[in-house]
Amino acid sequence: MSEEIKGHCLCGAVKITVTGPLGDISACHCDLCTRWSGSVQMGIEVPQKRVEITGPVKTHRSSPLGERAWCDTCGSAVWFRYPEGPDAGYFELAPGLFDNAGGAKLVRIVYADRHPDGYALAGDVQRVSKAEYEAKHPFVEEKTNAVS
Amino acid sequence: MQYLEGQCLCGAVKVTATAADEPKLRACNCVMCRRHNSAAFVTVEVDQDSIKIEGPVKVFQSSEWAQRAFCETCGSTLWYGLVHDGSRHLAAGLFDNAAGGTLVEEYFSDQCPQGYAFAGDHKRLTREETYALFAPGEGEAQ
Repeated sequence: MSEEIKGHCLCGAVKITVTGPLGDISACHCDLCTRWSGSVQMGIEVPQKRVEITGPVKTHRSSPLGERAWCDTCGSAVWFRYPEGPDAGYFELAPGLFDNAGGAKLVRIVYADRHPDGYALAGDVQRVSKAEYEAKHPFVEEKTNAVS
Repeated sequence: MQYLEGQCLCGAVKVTATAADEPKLRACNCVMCRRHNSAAFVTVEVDQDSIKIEGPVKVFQSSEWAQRAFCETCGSTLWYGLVHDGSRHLAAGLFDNAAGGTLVEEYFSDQCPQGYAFAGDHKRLTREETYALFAPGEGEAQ
C-alpha cells in the first residue's frame, strides 16, 4: 500500500494528502515565479489524481496556460499547474506544505540564468537557462512577457 | 540611495520605497516562512518610512507579533510585518533583480530542508542564534 503524505498551509485551513511517493523539487527563477514567491518558486511534481486538497483554496490564472493557487485565509502558496496542454495533469506542490519539504530534493532549476545577482541556489543540479527552457516550451514566452 | 518601484505578479499591488544602492537581502528558513512561501522567504532592506503600497492587500496575523501580507487577486507574497513597531519587511521578488541586493544573512539555517540550500558564504544563523538576535529569552521568534 502506498504511503500517505500529509501537509498543510501556515494557518492549517488548507490540508493536503498525497498518495506517495512525492516527486523531486524543481525551482524556477522566471519573472512570474519570482514576483509570486518573493524569492524563488519551488514545486514538487505530483500527478493530480494522487492529491487530495481541502480548504479555502483560491486560484489565479497567471498566464493563458499557468495557474497558481494559495490559501485564501493565510496566503500560503499551494500549487502551480498547467490546466491544459502537454504538461496538464500534474501539480507543482509547494514544498513548504510538508515537513522537511517532504524529504524531497532539488534536482532542477529552470530560468537558472535569471536568478537575481544577489542570491542563488547551491548544488550539483540540472540548470536550464531561459533560452533552453523556452526552446522546448514555446508557449511560455507569453507568460514571461506578462510581467515586463 | 535608489528609488524602487515593484509589483506583485498580476500588477494589482504596487509598491514603492527607497533603499540603499545595494540593499541587504535576508532569507528565513523557519517553518512558518516555508509553509507560507513554498521555500525560503527573502526580504529586502528598505527605508521603512518610505514604503508606499497600493492595491488589494490581504493581511494575515500569523502570530501575536507578526503578520504576513499577500495580494488578494494573485496570491503573491508581499511582506512579513511586525506588530510592535509596524515595520514591513518586503519580499525581494517584488523588485527587478531583487533591487540589486545581496544576500547577507540566512535565519534558521539549521531548519532549511535537507533537499536544497542557498549558495554562498553569507552569514548563517541557527535557530538558537536567530532567537538570540530577535527575541532573547523568548520562545518562538516567528
